[in-house]
Amino acid sequence: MNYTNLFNRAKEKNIEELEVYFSRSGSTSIKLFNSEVEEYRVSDVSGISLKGKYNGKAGSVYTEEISEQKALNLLDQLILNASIVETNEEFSLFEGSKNYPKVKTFSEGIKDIKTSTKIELLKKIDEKVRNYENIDTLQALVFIENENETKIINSKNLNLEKKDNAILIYCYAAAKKEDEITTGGEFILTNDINNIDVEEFAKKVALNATNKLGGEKADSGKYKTILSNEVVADLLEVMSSSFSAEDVQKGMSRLEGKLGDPIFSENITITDKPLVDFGPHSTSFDDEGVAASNKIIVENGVLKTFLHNRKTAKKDGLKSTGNGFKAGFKGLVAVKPTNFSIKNGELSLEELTSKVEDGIYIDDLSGIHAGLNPVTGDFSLQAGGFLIKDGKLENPINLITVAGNFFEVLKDVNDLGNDFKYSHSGVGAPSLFINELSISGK
Amino acid sequence: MLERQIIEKIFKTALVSGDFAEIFFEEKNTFSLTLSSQKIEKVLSGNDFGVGIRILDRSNVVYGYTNNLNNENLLLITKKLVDSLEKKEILEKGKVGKATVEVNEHKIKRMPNTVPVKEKVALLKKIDEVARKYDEKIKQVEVSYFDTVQNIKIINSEGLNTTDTRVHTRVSVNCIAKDGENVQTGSSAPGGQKGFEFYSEDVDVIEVAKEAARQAITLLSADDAPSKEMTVIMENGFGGVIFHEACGHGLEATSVAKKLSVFTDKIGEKVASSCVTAIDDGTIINGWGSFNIDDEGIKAKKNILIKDGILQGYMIDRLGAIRMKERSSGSGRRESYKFAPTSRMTNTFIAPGTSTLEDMLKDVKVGLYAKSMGGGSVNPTTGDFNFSVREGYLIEDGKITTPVKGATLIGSGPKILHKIDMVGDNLSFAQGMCGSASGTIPADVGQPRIRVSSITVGGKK
Repeated sequence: MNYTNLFNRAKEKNIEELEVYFSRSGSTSIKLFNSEVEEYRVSDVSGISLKGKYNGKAGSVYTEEISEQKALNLLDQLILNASIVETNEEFSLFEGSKNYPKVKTFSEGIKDIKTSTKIELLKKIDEKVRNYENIDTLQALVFIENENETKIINSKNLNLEKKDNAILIYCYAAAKKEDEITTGGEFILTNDINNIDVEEFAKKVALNATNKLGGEKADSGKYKTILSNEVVADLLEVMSSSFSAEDVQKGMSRLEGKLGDPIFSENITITDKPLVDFGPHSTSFDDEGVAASNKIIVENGVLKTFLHNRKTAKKDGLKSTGNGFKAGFKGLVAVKPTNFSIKNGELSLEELTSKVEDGIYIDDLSGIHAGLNPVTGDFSLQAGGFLIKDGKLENPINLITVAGNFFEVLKDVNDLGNDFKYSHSGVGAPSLFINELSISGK
Repeated sequence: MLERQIIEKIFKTALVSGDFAEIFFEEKNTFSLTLSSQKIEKVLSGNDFGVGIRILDRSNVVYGYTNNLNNENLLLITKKLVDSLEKKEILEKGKVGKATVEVNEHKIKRMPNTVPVKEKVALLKKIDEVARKYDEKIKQVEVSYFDTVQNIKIINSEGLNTTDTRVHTRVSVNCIAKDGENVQTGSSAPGGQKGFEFYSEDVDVIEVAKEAARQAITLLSADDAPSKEMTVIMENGFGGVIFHEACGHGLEATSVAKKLSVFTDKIGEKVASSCVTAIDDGTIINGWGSFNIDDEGIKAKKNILIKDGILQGYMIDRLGAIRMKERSSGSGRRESYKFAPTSRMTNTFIAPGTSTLEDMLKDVKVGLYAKSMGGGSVNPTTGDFNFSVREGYLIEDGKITTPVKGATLIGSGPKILHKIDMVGDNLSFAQGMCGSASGTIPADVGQPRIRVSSITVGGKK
């Protein structure tokens, strides 16, 4: 597509500034069921969004029908959209950061992996998982490879591009013993197929699927509780909006007015590090073209900064933290974290449980999108895990609920595990020992 | 676009290894507005555009999608897909049928793109004004609006060649109430398969605004919910999410056909209490989850799932039908061309009974009255489900008393269906967005007020 023509036409229509955001993503996925390939998918989708300044306001449009004619037609819609916006701040496109840091997000080898190699790998996993006792079915065993490419070009001479790719493998299995059925799984997000330890992966899938067999409800009450790394990451992912300056400025964050205050236990440090090589959300610049940088958000329990895009930063008289992201070409720029993480602790899971002595270990939460209020932090969620007796993991428990408030929970952290892990969402955390949480069971 | 010749070529290429091929073309126009802090803050319009090609070889599926409709690219994708299947010895002969257009049963009076933007803006401002006026403790109001017009074309190798249009609109209000450190939220989000007339004929936007504000204010004085098993009375409308989660997903062919559902092979068996009749009805006029034809081109149907407690049927798509040796129930749905279709719910509800609120309350010593429900989720393999109660009240000695917040109800789907011991007469529907294998789609949930004799309530107390 010829962008010069588009930029010229925009100028003729009194669009003072124009940005073209282009993204393209391709993926292949293979799914095994009953040890056979059941589904094979390929995709190649691209789209553009245009953002323009008209009478000082921002107007946005997007399309998947990529042609010069379509793009030209969109300019009128852009003008219409800009004229409805009522926010006061003067909008302006970005002229670019001085330097852009380097971060590894693309592996050449991925696209050369043969389909037969992927199927072989899946079959190997399938076989290994099935070898474990009580495994009944593999509900899903999938290999996904995806590649994304983004370009941002604007009339202020910004011209950036980046690409990333990754391999995702996940497997969920159901275990059966007499009439009881339990399920569980595991995933791997990696940039190198040779890094995958099939034995270890299969073992985890089987363990997660079977280890709740014979589970019972725990007695209702207050417990010393360990929340597993993935469980903590899933909660933090939903609550990450509280650290967004956008939510703070709208009065929708409980952290409003708390900069510089101790908000969590002293042992809690939270970072946003986009410059980690091959992290789930690693990037060298955000969707406004602002250079990315590693930041400490909470240091030893004290709130250091909020996450900003250009608009929220301007409002607070600050510089963008490089967290202006949108959901692909279809979205509008909001504030989003990158590799948002709670810093790792020092204790192994065994050391944590022995420190707890008697309590509960939770490694399974369901219904987070409905049962955790992202504004208030209140949650009551379906959970599963194990009782901790005399410092050791004992009987499995299921169909209990765990309730509390996210902000209170992070003020009540006794200790941290050394098992930092990124969850599916790309938010990372170690397991946490919480002094007291409410469990509803029997 | 998509000329007959290229379609014939795609089919010919596809049927070298497949026994069925299908092309799903989609063009969807979306317009959305967000008002926050009393100002229109975000405006976005756009169009989705692309094609999904599906080839079946018995019950194996290959699916490809792209928005590059260039002939060579479409054939390249088809070729890639076909190469992953084994070649057939005897080839199916595909045919491209005569193009038809579905008659839209869901009449649209004011197509969204003919409505001046000013009217849409005024709607949001009205809602914001009413919500803020409701109480001075309402400190923030966010109102968002969208409308979509989706045009689809489905062409398959069996001669189906049809086009259809679906129009949806929805407004959602979120209120934040503050009293010192105490912060609570309330929301309301009605939608319909309608044009802009929805906001004058079907919903009273003033009531929508008040409802969100009322919820947030009520919760300011709510106590933490208790934690234990008790009797729960669930109000109508969004309360139907209990059936959606506890049972609906488990009746989709996606899990039934693979014997992954707890309801597999249970037709004719008693799976619920006798007062429960449940229906999935894609034909409800202007229903949020309705359509003329599903995303595989099958006419929408009204499917009785459970009658007087006995399991009658499942929700089945083409692939499920092949696997189960059944017929499609018109349940093949997908979010967009980026998803292969699978069996999904449409408008799913529990049919009305005869019990009144007084009947239900009478003998309850301690219980929970769940007035407004949030979302939930289910594991269809184990049947374990959860959903959240946004606004609840304690029931003490047969009377509804103090408001409580933060309760989640959990249980096992198959067990809970037997514990529904009373069904009321006030059936109503509420709009939800249901996420599953084929993406996020509009689905109505519905029920009259029901009583569950015993369920685990998880609160903070």
